[in-house]
Amino acid sequence: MKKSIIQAGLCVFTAILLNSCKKDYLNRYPLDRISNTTFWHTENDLKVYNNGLYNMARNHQNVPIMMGVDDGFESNWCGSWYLDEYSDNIAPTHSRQAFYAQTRSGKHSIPSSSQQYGWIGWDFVRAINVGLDHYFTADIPMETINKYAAEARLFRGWFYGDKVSKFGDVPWVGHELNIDSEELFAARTPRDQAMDSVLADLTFACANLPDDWGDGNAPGRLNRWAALLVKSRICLFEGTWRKYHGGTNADMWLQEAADAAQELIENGPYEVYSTGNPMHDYNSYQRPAYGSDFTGNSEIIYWRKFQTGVLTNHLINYWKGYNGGATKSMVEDYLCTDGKPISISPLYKGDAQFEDIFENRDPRLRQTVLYPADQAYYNYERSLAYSYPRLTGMAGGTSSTTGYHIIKTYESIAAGNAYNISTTPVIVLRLGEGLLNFAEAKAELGTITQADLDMSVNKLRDRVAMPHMDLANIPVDPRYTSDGVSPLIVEIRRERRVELFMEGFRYDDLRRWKQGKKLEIKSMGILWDAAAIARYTGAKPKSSVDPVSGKTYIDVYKDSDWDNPVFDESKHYLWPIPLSALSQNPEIGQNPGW
Amino acid sequence: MKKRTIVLVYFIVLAFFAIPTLAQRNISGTVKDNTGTPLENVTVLVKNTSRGTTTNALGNFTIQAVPKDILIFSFTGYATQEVTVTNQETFSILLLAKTSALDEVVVVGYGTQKKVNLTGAVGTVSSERLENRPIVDAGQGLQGVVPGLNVSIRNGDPTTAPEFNIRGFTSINGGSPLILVDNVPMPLQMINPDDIASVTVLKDAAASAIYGARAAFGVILVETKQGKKGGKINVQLSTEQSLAKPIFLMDVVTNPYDYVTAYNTATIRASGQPAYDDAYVAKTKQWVDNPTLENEWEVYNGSFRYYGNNDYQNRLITDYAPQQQYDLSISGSSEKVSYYASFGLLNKDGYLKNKDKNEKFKRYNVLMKADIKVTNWLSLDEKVVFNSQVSDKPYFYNWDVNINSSARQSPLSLVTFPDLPYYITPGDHDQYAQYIGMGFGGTNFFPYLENGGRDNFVNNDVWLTQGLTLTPIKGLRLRGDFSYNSFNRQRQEVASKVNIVSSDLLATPMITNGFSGDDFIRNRSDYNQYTVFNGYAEYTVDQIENHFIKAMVGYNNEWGRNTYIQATARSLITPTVPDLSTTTGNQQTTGGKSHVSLQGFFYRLNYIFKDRYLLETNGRYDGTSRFPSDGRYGFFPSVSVGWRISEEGFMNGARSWLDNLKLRASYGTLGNQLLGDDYYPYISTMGSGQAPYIMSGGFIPYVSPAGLVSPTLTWETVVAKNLGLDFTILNQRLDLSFDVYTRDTKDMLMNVSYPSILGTSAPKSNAADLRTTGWELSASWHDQFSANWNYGFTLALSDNTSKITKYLNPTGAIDDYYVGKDIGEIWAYETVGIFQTDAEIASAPNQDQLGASWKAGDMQYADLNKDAKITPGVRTLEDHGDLRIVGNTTPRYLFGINGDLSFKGIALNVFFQGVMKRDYLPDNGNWNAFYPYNDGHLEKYAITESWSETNRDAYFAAPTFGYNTKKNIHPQSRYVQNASYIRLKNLSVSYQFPVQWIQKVKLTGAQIYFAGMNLWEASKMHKPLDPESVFTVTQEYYLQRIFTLGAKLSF
Repeated sequence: MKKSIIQAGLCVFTAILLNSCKKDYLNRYPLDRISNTTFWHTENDLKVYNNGLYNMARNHQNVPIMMGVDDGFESNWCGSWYLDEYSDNIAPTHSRQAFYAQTRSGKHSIPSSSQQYGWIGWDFVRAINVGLDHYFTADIPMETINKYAAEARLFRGWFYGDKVSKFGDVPWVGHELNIDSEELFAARTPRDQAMDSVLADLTFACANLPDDWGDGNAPGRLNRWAALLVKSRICLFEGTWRKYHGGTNADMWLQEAADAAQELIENGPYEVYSTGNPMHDYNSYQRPAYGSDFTGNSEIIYWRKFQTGVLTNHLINYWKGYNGGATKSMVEDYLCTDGKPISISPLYKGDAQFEDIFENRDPRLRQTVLYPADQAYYNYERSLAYSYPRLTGMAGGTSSTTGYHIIKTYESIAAGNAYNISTTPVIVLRLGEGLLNFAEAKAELGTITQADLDMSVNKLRDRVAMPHMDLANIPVDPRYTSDGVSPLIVEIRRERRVELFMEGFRYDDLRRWKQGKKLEIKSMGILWDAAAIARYTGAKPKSSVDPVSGKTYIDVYKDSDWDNPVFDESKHYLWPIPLSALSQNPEIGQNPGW
Repeated sequence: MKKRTIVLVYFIVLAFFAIPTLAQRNISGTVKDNTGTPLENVTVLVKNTSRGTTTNALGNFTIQAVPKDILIFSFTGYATQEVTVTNQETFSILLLAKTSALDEVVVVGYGTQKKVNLTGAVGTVSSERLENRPIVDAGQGLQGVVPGLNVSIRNGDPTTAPEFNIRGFTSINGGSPLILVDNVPMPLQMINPDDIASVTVLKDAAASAIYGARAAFGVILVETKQGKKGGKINVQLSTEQSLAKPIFLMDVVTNPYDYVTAYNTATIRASGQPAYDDAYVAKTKQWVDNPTLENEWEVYNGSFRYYGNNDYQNRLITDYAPQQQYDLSISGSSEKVSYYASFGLLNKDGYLKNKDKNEKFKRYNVLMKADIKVTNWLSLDEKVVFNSQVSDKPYFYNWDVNINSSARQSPLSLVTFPDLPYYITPGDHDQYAQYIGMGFGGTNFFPYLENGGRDNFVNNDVWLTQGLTLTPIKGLRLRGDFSYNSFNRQRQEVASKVNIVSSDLLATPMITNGFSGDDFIRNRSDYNQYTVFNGYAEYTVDQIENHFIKAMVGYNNEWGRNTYIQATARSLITPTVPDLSTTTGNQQTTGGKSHVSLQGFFYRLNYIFKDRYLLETNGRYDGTSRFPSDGRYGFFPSVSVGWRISEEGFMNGARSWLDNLKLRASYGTLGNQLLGDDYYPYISTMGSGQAPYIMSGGFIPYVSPAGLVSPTLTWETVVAKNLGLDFTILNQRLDLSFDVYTRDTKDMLMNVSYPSILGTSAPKSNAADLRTTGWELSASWHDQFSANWNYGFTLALSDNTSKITKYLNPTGAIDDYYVGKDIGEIWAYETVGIFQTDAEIASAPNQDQLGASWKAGDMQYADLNKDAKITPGVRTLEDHGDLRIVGNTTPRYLFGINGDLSFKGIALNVFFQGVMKRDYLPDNGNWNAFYPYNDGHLEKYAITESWSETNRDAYFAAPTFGYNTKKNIHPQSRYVQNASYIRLKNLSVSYQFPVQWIQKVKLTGAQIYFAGMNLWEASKMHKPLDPESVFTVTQEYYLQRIFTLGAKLSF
């Protein structure tokens, strides 16, 4: 009896044991993930995959092409707005801007690892290449596939255009790499070869992207017009770089730039935004006339949207406290209303008094830099308790380092908002740039006509009621005669600086024009004389004598670590390769001078 | 009638004998152990007679004796005690457990073993080491107790689990010991420290191979308490009432004038501009000289300025936070059933002074165990472990406004809107009265703490175990158990809108939301399941003379599945009713699930010849779902031998003083499959979700590319060798154990570092090796000064270092591992000193790569490679410029020293724990409070220890704040801290009330004690760094000094 119970017990015990040793017990596959075999079948798959590229490009520090803006704390990197801090346009002193100020003063050094906007974002290239390797397995018409391939190649060409501009030779990666790929340990692809690939990408994008995705463009996906603008930008960079730094085929690139821009201008659905109000249109097209929504703005090709309760930013608040202010050099580049530079125009009132500077000037100046009487119009800092301008050291309100408070993009509702609840949108691509690209490319080619100017630069001048640029009557600004270019090109470059202020072009422009020496000019502010000292109580800015005028101006970086900016022609046009990249692959090689 | 006669005769005879021997009479009493539990079957003997008796179930005895007789109380496992009879008639006897190292039985994997027969490296901890201490977690109690077991405590947060490590650096992928509670893997936090009966630490491969794949880095076996045999129901009630004080070493500047002058010096140096204007400086001076309310506040150009000392830190951080622990345990047994049930409640408040808004933590523990002997050959055991944790803390809005901001608040920052007679113009008080008391913005934590949302969670963790033990024939034992775990976690974060008042009195509006503008609620629900099955059979042969054989085979499988759902909704209708349904904004949901399983077959064979030659082999054939089917299984065997030299005939001469001398050696391999949450490392999958990118309205769905994976992944293998010596002498007074070991971690999965153009992390491959070597010493000494005075010391000392022996790093990048790299090494510049003059800079090597605009007072770095410039080279072994190894963060010579002293019912315990050698280089990142002026951080020492013309011999460079402030604080030899320390982890004094006192109130035991945790420390580190929590240079839940009063009653 007892024995049988034992036997029964043993049987149960063994049964439990055996039952547990199931053969497939250890087969456990992911429950919440998709894989390459379950994906890449439908158009929607391709679309959703490419959404991921937009998501990556959202991080402009990593993928510095769309230069939109981050949300939350990360909006302290204000995308394209801050790229001007590399240049002589604005003069930030906030410690979070040290990265830009350091580069602007030529005191940057070799980074130990990949840094923002630099040798970074290779995951983006991989994501594009993975897409390009898989799109064609989808069982949908080739024409449809090509739309998405074109979108991806626009991103790749755009990305590499930026990399080449910063590093010269770059490692071109055109397909998904694995750990045994030779590219990993190869030398960089020569600039010319890499740019041929960039051009092929951009040309493919311009040929295959739809004019309209049918998505309302709000902001939707990048369309063919966006691709044309990007192509004109990158080709213009490459053409002028080769022309001024020495290189082959400069004219081919300039022609590509001109052609792409011309296609956009002539056949695209975009127009320079204007309501017929030259005193405000330049400022307001990019401000809240549309709330937080640029949909329907005739000039804007692509933008980044924010929406209350969904995705918000703290952009304006970071911007206004961090940008420092526009520089004297910037402010003095605006023409007088007669179309002549201040150096020769009889209309210029001088800078003895702050308000004088704005007299008889290109209306864009007053729409870019705060004129004291406009404080109420802009509801600047939402308080009339303080008078502007204000300088560092003055109590209350918001101060600037130069006296030139920037109001281009300033928006008072956003500026007064609590942390990260603003919906300030950001313009990524607009027609205005295309007009300037066109005019510059044609001018550099030497084929520009008055008709070309009228369909480009003069459209922008019309908006602000400035006299047309007249090929037969180009003023000669004595300040720029030593630049080594024709007065026409000087004026087209000036137009570009003025129109595209704070849109992130200046530093790249100086580099491609081989005008790095301009960065050796100190960043100065307003005239600092006895009257100014009396007017701006409490302010104790550092000042220096301007070697040109012999007068004393605020010298923003005097006695700071960024004093006495340098620009080494043999070194500073390209960025240094980070140490980590060199240590992982010595074949990459450092750029000259570093 | 007859009976009565007998009694009568008895008394007459008694009287007859009593007269001549004078006072032969009945002595009675009770025998208990030091916990107050009555001891049954204690032998009571009158010395030099044959008169004796034993105690009953209540520990009571009666015996005849005369004064000056000596009563001998003896009981297995307890120290024998002699008591001289006096005129007293009742005696209360306390027997102390004899800690005989020789008889001790140790819990090992799937069984037990006599300690003398162990051949592996095993450390043990008895429950006493965890008792009478205000620890919230058993991990805290294990720190420093077992040599080789390292416990790191990140901070004082009871929701942060201590980290365990056995024998140092494990693998580049990490790896921690397997923790099993009654043979079931479970976090140690699950268990109330009061329920723990013993802890065994299996340190080498021989000891832990039975757990195979998860035991590569040791095993911690925890046994919970059992019902005591003996029939009586024993109830124990205990409580601990504690006060916890932050160990808070920050030395804030309290003098506003000092603050502004120091700060100005720093900003002027960097940017030429003072941060505070002359008027500001003058006003702070005025307040310092005459601290009136009038001098404290000013409305300057319409904005508030504060010139006093806002005492921010003192207002925020509490001096003492309460902590309470209540425990009730019931245990007992009958012939067939024994049971143990315990209930615990822990209640702990955080470090904030605001009682209502303080962090709050509650933990409920239930443990229920029953053993049922169904028949002679079948018994069942049931166990329920329940752990519930409830946490409630302020919502973490931002690093700017949490506890960390206490390190960044100046004495001048605005905290709350003041009540002033008037503000801008006389008579405007009423206009602003509504704002009085409201919090200002900036980095002021108060408004967020007081009015912001909360972050709550409730964890409920249940483990149910059903066990079955069969003993069908003599020597054979079959055991099976199945456990099921259900873990549920409900977390709710509420970030509600906070009102922040403007410091600009002319602002419109005056009230904004600061960091809280984007308000939301987020709920996350986690549901995890886990099952464990163990089945094994053990057969023991001990009848054959000189031979002892024990063989065991078994099977184990485990399966786990995790799921979660998270929902976020923005824009609360009202902060008073925070729920997903009471929102008006965007809603977003995410979720996920995953599963994992493993199974293994294991065996153990013990053979002992003549009680002196010991052999043990065990091993495991283990499989995991984490690897592809080809590499899924691994076999991990081990063998160990022991030689009890003291049992040899030639050692007979030493018997008088030598109790035990044993030599041990072991060799074994183990597998490591601990890959964290990476359950499918060999399967390439694509990410998907909602991207925070708006195309028309709302987020866009996206899919990201699949990563690179290797299809040939397999186990990391650990090969461990151990040599040990156990030594017990002087009648077991001194017990020593010494081990040396090496542990090779082979085929470590590594992310081979490839150039970043690869665009993704490289697939893991089994490509790296590591060797750890070390030694451990444990020693204990127990003795008596006299009959009532007992004392003892134990020492745990250990050391180990690790080196990479194989690694793919062809260029020798120093920021990665490389062959020959000592784990923990710190690469940095060598500091020459501080430049005293500009002339020195001109003649020194060029430092432009490290920063711009060098001036007197800046740091000079050494040009180690003599190339006339200071650079980091390309950070490879071949070209590391002027970097060198300046220290090593590996903790060396870890020690724990425990001392006990007792006199009758009074006992004193002190326990010190520390590290004798360790380097630490504070990180210079933002938010880290160490380097003066770094990101605006300013403490008193920054003023006194920074360079100036008059303080040229300073520790820190000249104050600078603004741009490029890191140039003087690049990683460098100067700031390498000596992170060695000794800390008084525990000091306790307890008193056990004499039995005769408490009997009257029907108690069987009563004890009160005082204990203090972390009461004192010594360290050479620069304040405010704490050597134990150097990993948290930001302000976190502070480590605490805890003072406790405890009481235990049993009946």
